[in-house]
Amino acid sequence: MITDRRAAASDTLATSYILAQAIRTVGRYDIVLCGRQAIDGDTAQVGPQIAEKLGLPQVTYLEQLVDIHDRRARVRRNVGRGWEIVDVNLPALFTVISTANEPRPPAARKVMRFKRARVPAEIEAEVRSVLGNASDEEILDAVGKRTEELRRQGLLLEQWNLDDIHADLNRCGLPGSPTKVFRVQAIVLTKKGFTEIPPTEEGIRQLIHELVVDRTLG
Amino acid sequence: MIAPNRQGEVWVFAEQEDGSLHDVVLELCGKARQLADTLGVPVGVVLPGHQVRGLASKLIAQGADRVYLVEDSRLAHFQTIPYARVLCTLIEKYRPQIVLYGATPLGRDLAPRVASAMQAGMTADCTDLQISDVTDPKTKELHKNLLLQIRPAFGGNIIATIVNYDRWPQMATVREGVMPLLPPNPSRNGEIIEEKVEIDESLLALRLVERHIEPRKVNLKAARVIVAGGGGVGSKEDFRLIYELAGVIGGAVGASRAAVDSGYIGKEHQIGQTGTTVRPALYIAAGISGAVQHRAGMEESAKIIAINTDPNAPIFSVAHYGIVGDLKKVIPMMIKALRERRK
Repeated sequence: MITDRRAAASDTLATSYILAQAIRTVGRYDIVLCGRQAIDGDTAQVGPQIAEKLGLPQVTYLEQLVDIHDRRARVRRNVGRGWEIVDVNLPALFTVISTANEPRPPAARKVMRFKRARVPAEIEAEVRSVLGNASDEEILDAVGKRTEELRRQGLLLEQWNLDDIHADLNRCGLPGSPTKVFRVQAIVLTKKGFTEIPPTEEGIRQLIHELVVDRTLG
Repeated sequence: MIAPNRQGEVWVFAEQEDGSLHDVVLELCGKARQLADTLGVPVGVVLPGHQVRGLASKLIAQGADRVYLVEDSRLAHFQTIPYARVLCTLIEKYRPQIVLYGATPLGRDLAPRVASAMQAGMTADCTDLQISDVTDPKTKELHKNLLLQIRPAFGGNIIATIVNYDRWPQMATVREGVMPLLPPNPSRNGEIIEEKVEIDESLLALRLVERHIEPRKVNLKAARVIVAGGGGVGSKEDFRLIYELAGVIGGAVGASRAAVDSGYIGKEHQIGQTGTTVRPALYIAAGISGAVQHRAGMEESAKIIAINTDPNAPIFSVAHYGIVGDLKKVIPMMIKALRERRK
């Protein structure tokens, strides 16, 4: 997990920079897997932007891994009204669509075991809420003990900040984001029930236009 | 990254496949023309490909002043890295102030890669683009003539306006059909500028093995749009209207049990509890009263349009848009409105 206040307000360019730095920090990789897009911005930009920064070939909208051997993958990608199969040398970055795989059900025992897994930021927050007004020294001590205990049990998750991944701070968060949100307007939901469209040419034309603008059509 | 260039052109990336331009490119030419006229600068179109020179006149008729033609046999099939190299090279050379791409699978693969290489901003899926002066709320600095990139976010619950103050070009993708297609003007004059871009073999990371574009077929489960007819259609002959609308809209044909039982259409088209359950992006129910068994099979659709002469038909209880009227009049109007947008 990478968490850092200085990463707040990152746009896709800054987000992809941070992820690329983290991948470089991990060091060894053959395939970088990304989802197609996040559900807040729906931009589908971060995957290709990570690939560019790492100098990797990208295959977007991957729907099937056909074959993989000798550091070469054969994959099928969705291209809207059809598909294409391409060969690509590894390492490469793939963005994957939801039809690519049916996730297996989670193993109940593992779910139970890893429910207790924590990152350091969570440990400190938990210790503080339990010990309340204890001194900083006591809290530090308790955090250290708890961290050690979890590490022994294999339940301590890795947590990095921007320094750990050697990030240039000018390329992260607000300073690293060329796109700025200038204005946000909430869409006012109209009355419950349906919108009545008059059965006239103008009414129908307006309806079709609305469906195109809200992306239902096209 | 390029510094703001107030004299920079407004550019469009010309997506083409097998020698024909994607419709969204022609739509974007019209929008680029409008933005460029507001700014008082020319419209440029970047046209990479192999043997695509013939497309330039179409782009000029649609509003381009300059077509930057990059012909190379290695650009015959789209590949992200060489195409991104072409765009980056030309952007650095000419420093356009705006670059627009279609939000197609190809455009959304290419555009972010270019933005990353240029360390520039990129706004996906804009539904409107405008030119306006903007004062940075933080620094109070006035930026003249910025591109307002307007788009829905958070599942369409908010509309965000995005700007790039100082890291240009200002780039955006726009979906097909969002910008109106303006009528071409074959007497417009424009210039073709041939450009050579070094494409090293090492940039060709992908090898195309096989490509398959599926013919449109009836698949209710997978359809994004379904046009369904019910008993109210009245006859097998009139059911052709349902087929016609589905054809124009690019959707599948569905039916209620009443239509199937009346012999208007085969059972494989039936939607509802005993037929197929569907949840398309758009469901158009024409002449379907909306018995609970039918509603159970379609009420999860993202958008539902109901057309019925009876204003009390239960189908309206699940509809987002309701048209109280005769489908034999309403459907031809829909077909006409859709065709007009295509032109």
